[in-house]
Amino acid sequence: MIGIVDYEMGNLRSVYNALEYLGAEARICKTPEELGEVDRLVLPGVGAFRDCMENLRLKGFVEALDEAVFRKGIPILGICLGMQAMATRGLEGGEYQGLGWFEADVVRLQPEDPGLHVPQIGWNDVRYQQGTPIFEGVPQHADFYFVHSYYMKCNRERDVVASCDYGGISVPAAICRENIFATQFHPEKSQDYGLKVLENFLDWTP
Amino acid sequence: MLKRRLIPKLQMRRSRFGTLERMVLVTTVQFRETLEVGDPVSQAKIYQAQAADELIFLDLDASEDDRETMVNIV
Repeated sequence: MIGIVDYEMGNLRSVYNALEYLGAEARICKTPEELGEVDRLVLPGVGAFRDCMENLRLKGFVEALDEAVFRKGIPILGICLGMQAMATRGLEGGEYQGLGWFEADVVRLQPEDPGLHVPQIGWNDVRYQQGTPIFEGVPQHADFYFVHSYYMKCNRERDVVASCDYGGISVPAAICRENIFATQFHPEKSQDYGLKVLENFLDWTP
Repeated sequence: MLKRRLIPKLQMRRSRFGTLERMVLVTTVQFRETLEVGDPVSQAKIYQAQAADELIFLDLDASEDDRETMVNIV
């Protein structure tokens, strides 16, 4: 059973539909208690960093996530803002504290190419570290769907397992640490390879 | 490198067949005439199979008929 964290920000339905399409049993978790009843988690997210962290805190999800991810060690997949929430700090409209699972700052995209807009919206090719289980069966430089204005600047290079290029900026496309995996792109919006990434997550034994 | 997106547009209009009413896929001629060309859902599935980057659903009479997004079709 995969739990999708519902903190009222995020395209839950898209993620839910994609997982069900893959034959998995998914459940939308509206309360922190429900996180204890699933064996895999997805943390989606669309919107601003500050609101995301505020919602997670107010609804009591921060403690429940710590319990599930660190004490019980269940695999978790963060998507887009869900990935960014895992950073130490977010610098969107101020300075806000994130979950701190990865030593990183979330900063605004500032592509060198004047022809490129912010946010990055659309398909970009992803280079990943060969052998990463969640990218098994996906060719190098496959396109995934991105839609974001901020990106995660990680202090530890080895946390970043995949990246894409946006106007000269190496944007972390995926990060990984023990039982935590997260993508900046939306696998549930990335056609066949996106579904493959989700499928691999479902079978992942970290 | 960011790719250009190719986004098919699906134009829909309400069509009446006797007492039956449903959304049909249309194509327009010089923005005046509309020709019914099929079913929006079937065509959307074809575009999805052809790996369309995104899809745009346009309900041509929504404002006039005061209609909200047809979530059931989307």
